[in-house]
Amino acid sequence: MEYVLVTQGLSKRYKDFKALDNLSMHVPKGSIYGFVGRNGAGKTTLIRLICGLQAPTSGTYALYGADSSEKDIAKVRRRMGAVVETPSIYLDLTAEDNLKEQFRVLGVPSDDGIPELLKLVGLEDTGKKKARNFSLGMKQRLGIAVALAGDPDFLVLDEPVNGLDPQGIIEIRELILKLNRERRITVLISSHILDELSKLATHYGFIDSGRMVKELSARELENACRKCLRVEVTDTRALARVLDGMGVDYKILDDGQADVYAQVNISQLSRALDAEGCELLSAQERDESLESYFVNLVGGASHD
Amino acid sequence: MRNLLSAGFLRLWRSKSLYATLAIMAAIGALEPILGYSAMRDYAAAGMTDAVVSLDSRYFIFPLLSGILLSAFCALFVGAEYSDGTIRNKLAVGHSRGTVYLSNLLLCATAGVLLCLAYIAAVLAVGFPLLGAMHTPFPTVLWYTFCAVVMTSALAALFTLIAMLCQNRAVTAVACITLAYFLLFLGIYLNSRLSEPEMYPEQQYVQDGQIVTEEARPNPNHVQGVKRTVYQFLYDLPGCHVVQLAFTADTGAPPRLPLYSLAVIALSTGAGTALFRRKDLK
Repeated sequence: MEYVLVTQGLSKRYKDFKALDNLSMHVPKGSIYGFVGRNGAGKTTLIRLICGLQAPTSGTYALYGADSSEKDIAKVRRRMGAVVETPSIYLDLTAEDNLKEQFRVLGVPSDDGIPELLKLVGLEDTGKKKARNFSLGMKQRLGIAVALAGDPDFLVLDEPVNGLDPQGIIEIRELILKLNRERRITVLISSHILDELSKLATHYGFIDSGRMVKELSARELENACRKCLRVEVTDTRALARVLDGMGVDYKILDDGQADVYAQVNISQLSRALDAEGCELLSAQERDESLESYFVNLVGGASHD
Repeated sequence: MRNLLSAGFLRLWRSKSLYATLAIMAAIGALEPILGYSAMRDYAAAGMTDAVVSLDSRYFIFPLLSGILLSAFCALFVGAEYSDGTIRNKLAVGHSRGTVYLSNLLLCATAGVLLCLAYIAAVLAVGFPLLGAMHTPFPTVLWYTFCAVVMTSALAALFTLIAMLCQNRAVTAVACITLAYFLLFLGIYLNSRLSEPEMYPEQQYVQDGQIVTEEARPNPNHVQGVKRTVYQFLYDLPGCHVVQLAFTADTGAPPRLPLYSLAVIALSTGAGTALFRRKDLK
């Protein structure tokens, strides 16, 4: 698999506080990578590092294969756009002037792309209105437009829906999906709003106390969180034969346990297993939400 | 660097802070000769026909003002990069910290030069018709203007250093304005201390019908030795030497003053870029 961003043993220390602790992550090309963690888990610190705002205490990261210690990293950053924490926009300028600024920062020879960019983020009718008079959602969308000014392949968004109203959240979500599907932009989104992330992400990375706890694809997460019946039997081979016969989706966990992804009649299943010489020892319904998956993964203790 | 300057100048020409400070400089520049002319008319009305207010005295004021207004401008202009978070847009797309720093320095120095020009244009435009031509030889005026502009650029370098290293715009504003005033008042203080004569001259006065002669005696306030060297060094620094410029305006400022300014630009920029490179930005 081709990766846009790979970090290896990345650590960042602020005096006595370790914000990132030997963090390793892999953002696949073309993905929407949901970077999940509690407040203070280290999400923004990682984004600051990969944007070149801060230097790691130890460890490295590679953007499009260019190592952070190489000089080429500056050139590779040209392929990246980022909105770190708050939207980075001049409040005393209009949306159009903000984009003109960024076009010049990037050395884009013509301003012709500005109307299209404004239309893409739904700010084409803002005219001479200064950014300070924008709503939070509009500022966020302008921040994304500025990040898109260089036509990046990789977009980094730090908590993009924080503080937005439901309509604003939907707009940002649709914009991100559009960018990913139509422009093939790889997106790294940090968030602690799991429900929202689950509507977007194709891959997840769970961070806690500066450490990567788990990385998995959305499919793997869906399987892990899928409503199922966890059965304990004496012979999983026999169980597999019975479930295959019933045409039911399942996953064998070990020699004695399996998850069955269907509503099955327990008496019927028990009888069928009995006929195969297998005993049904227990059956327990499991329905893990993304939230409970996350809590189980990082532990329930409150950090802040 | 070229891209950053292009973006910076685009923003500079849209900056309300720039136009506000330019307007203040131009307004003071226009007001000074008007006040001088008004004073001259009052003298004439009082029969003091010889009393003349020259355009020169009004012209030479501008470095005193440019430093203070520039401190406010730099704090607002560069401070916005942090308060609006836009400095991230430059670094995240691969511009080096050195070029980001230098581009801001050049923009602030340009603003400083414009502030000087705004005053000069206004004082000459209003002053010539009211007060007549300047009496100081043109090369001396040119030299003075050059020294003042270089000093303003040195102040721009100091304010840029503060603004680039402090991520809080309000703190930056307070620090820059305080520094501008501190250097000015330090210059006034040092001027008064360094002007103290070494000896009080012999004095004669009449007391109880008798002529009393007081011998020349050492002035206890006279600064000498290492202390004088230190005072003189500080007095030569930009910001402080604005007072020295004013006192030597008609005779020509010492050539070391612009050299000191250039040294301050080089040192502060070197230190500023080195510290900015290591700085953790939010």
